[in-house]
Amino acid sequence: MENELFMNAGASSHTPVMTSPSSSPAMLNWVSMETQPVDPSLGCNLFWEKSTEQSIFHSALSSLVSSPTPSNSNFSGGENVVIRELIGRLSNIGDIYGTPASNGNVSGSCYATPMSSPTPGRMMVTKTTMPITEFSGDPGFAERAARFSCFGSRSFNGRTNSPFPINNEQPVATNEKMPRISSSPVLKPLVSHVPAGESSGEYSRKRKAKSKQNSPSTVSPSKEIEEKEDSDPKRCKKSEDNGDKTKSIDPYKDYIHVRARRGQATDSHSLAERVRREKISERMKLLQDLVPGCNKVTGKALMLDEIINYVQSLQRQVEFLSMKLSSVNTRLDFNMDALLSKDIFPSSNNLMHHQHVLQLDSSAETLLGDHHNNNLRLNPDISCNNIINPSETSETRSFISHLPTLAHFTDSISQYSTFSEDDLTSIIQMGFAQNRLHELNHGSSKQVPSHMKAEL
Amino acid sequence: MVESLFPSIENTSESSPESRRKKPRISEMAEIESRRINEESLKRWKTNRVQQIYASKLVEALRRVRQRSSTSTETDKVVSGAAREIRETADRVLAASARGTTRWSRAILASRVRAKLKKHRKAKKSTGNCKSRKGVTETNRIKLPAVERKLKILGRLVPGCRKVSVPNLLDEATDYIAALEMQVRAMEALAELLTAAAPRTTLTGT
Repeated sequence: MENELFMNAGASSHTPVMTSPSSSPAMLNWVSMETQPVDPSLGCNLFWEKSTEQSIFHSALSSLVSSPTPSNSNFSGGENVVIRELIGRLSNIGDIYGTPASNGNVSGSCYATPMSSPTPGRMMVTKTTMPITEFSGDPGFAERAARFSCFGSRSFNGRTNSPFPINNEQPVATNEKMPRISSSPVLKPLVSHVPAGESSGEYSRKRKAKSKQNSPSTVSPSKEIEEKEDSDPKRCKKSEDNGDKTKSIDPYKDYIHVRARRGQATDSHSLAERVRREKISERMKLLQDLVPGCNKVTGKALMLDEIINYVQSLQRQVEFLSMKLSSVNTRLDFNMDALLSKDIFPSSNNLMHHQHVLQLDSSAETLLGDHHNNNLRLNPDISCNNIINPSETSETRSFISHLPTLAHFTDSISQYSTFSEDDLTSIIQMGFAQNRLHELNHGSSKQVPSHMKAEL
Repeated sequence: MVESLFPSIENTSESSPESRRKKPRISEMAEIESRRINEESLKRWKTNRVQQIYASKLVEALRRVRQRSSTSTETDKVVSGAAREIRETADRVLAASARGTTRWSRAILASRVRAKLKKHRKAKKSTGNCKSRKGVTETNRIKLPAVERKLKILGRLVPGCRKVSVPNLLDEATDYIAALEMQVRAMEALAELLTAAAPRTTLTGT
């Protein structure tokens, strides 16, 4: 039966029957509550089967599946859909089941359960409703509604960090007192914004991933229905990387709930594997942003190559700069504060007329990056600089003229390893120099940069 | 004083394409942990305040090193030794700026203590252990997949992250790269200022 729900997902269109997201947890709550006396282990499954509103749920859940879920919203995206639909169902069902009782432990829920439900059922509810409860933090929800015009899941996620943890720590009593119906109209307009926000958000491009209901770290109630058996072994899964939302909310929950995507294996092992893979890929994306020139590279191995090269180049730069600083330190015997107190902008005259100045200025070349490190091995002796200076002057000028042309450093990083110490021209193409390029252009040292070789 | 080190650098770093690209990506990813890593670590290393803290500490450390080295005689060995000292000092200052939130920073700060202990132990220990370790790695060396090999290399590069899990290793590498970038920028600016200032006071160089 549950499978049918998702089968219909693609067919049915997204029905924006939105009342309030808070009602969905309420619905889930009483859903689970209903199942408690029957068989807590079965959870919501029994209830779904028994429900006379089965057809309603079918359509609701099908629309849930079909609605776009941004990948970034781990569970809130899918939860949005679920919640909206369930809320719609709930409103249709009306007050048949009375005031739903939310799990008190799930403090975020706006519908606290006055009934004393047994703990396993509560845990079950918690599992299912935990992500939803963040939505349904009624006390804070109304405030947030006023604050945020766009109720897209993106903004939702942005807010979930701050307000939800605070909200979740609210005592259960406050939640219990919130009547379900009173909150619904408040949340109705908010929820109506949700699909709009979702469609307009940048995750609209994720819409194509309809089958991807949730990111691995989320739980949906329907998932609970389907994957009840799979979720049990997942209780022992690793608990790290759990979204902060879940962490802050639920003290019981210390493991990751993963939802099986449509058309993919539902085996717990494969689910865990997928979680792990996605974690790693996320971090690789972060690194890709950090390391220049990684955009064109695809694949983990190549990207790792780039990252390794970049780290090595950075470390070499640090080493070279430390050597330079040590030489400066030994040369200077006066107060460093006096030096740093003035903004020093060496004039071009110094470059032309003073060999020593050149010799020192050449050491200040930052454009050359790794070249410096390589030259360290060549010529550690400072006294040799004088010999090299005349040739470097011309090169300095050539470098300066080359500076504006250094626009791309795409393949520079790959050259790091193959860089030859004597190849000055390759330095110009060094990708890492782009940072230096910016600095030099903006900084005062535009005239200062000269060939590094002289420094040592 | 040290603010002059970073006026231009901060602007350029902020306007760099990487940071521009990063910000929308941050907003996209709802993953809390990735956001934490991104915002906290990467932006942390780009803030002016962090850079100023680092620069000032670096200056202090360098002054101490300079005072210590000025008493010794000038030889090539000393120069390279001083360079290593400065690099280690800079690394320690960098790790201190991290406030112990990352593994590599803790490893750097702890490495100094470990090095001192090793000096004592070296006198007692024989080199047999090293040989056995090499032998084991040679005989048991099976070609690991390329990705895993590279991950091992990356683990060796980042201090204190040899036996760290893959996702944590990537996190550490992210923070480490950001910190290294800041360190390079700071040291470059410092070196620039010092070398540019030097000729004014000591026109007669060595």
